[in-house]
Amino acid sequence: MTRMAAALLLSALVGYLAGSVGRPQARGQADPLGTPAPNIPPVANPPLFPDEPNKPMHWSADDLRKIHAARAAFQRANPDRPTQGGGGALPPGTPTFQGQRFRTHNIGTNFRAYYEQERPANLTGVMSHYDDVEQHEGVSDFYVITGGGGRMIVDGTIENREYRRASGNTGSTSLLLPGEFDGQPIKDGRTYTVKPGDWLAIPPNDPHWQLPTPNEGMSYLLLKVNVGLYPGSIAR
Amino acid sequence: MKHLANLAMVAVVASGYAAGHAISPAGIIAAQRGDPNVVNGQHQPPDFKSVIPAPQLRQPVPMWPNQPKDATHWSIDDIRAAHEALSAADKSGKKVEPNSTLHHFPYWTRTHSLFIYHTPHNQAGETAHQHVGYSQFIVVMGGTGSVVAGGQLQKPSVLVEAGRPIPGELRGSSIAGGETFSLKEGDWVSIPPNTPAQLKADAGGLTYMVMKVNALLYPWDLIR
Repeated sequence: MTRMAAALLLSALVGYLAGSVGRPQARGQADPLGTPAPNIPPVANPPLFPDEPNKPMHWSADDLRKIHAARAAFQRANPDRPTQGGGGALPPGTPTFQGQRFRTHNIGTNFRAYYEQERPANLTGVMSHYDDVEQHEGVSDFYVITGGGGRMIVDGTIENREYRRASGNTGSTSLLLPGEFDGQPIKDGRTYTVKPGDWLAIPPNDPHWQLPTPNEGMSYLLLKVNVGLYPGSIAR
Repeated sequence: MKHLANLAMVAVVASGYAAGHAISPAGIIAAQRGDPNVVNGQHQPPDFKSVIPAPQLRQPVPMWPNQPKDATHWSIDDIRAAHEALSAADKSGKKVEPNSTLHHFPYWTRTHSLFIYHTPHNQAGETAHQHVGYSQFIVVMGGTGSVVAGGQLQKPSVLVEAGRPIPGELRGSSIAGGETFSLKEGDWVSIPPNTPAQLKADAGGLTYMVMKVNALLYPWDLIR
């Protein structure tokens, strides 16, 4: 009788373990932070969101050079002005750059400057001649240098690394952006001297840092490809 | 008696399975398995300097074929040399694979790819293309020419390779109603998915790099 009871107990245990292992993970299961996973049904033809005019666009190399010249001149006249986001208003007659933003990728341009006087860096606020290093877990960057030049440091690791905050890092405790990191300098990176026309492909999660030439700055195409990790904008 | 015992054992195994299926924490454990920043059961983002914890990304997402680990740099001197080599081959009637003229080409990943193309002057055939599943970003490497983009593909047909139709890949003789842009070195063109485009070269040929961005419709490589 004892052997019979032990066998039944063992059978119940075997059944319980088999049931535990065979249990499928439910959709919408809570994750470690307690946020339910979105239950997104498959879509046959996903929308290219946010919608852009679904039309081809052309950018002339001449216009890109003029935009850089105007940005560099504006920066020389306003040497302490932060350049994150491409610089300020340009004089009348300067060609405008119309970018494109899709669910899968963004097309834009950017301008960086060397600051003669050290100033709080654009994101972390450390004193520096340069804007901060960036690292994006969910985005591949493709650069085409369109004006000016300098050095690009890539790969390696970011020293003094922080999460990026939605409203900039200086003195703020605002929302942290997952997968977005800033800091400086880069340790054990590779340095490339870059000039107009050069290309750079920066894979996801790879630190990259622009060190523009003094008085000249650096303008570049910034084509960002969403590698599928970020649910939101990849504009950063 | 023995028959009854066997029956009881099967019933107990079945009820044990049902209990395990219903109440075990295995599903929750599976949901946590993807977090690379868990240490001793706690989510620990690196170099944390805020009072607000960062939400985590959903991992792992396969990056197939491999996303490169390191960055790649191409100098304008090498880019121009690639065009010169292709243009010279064109003039001498030699066939040169465009992607062999620049290091790290073709470059392709799960999400996007980079390919070099060279269009000779007066190229014949079905040179108007329409790709349903990817966007194109074109950088002109050398030469001059034009692109007609938008409008309607004329005499469209589905591409056939090795006797098999390739869904989403359309070819045509020309484009009606598109917009025409002149092209030279350093120009860029963006062509949305499912938009016809036809590139034509002046004398000396036109060399260009196409970044193809997967619009997440194609499960296969972005090589066409």
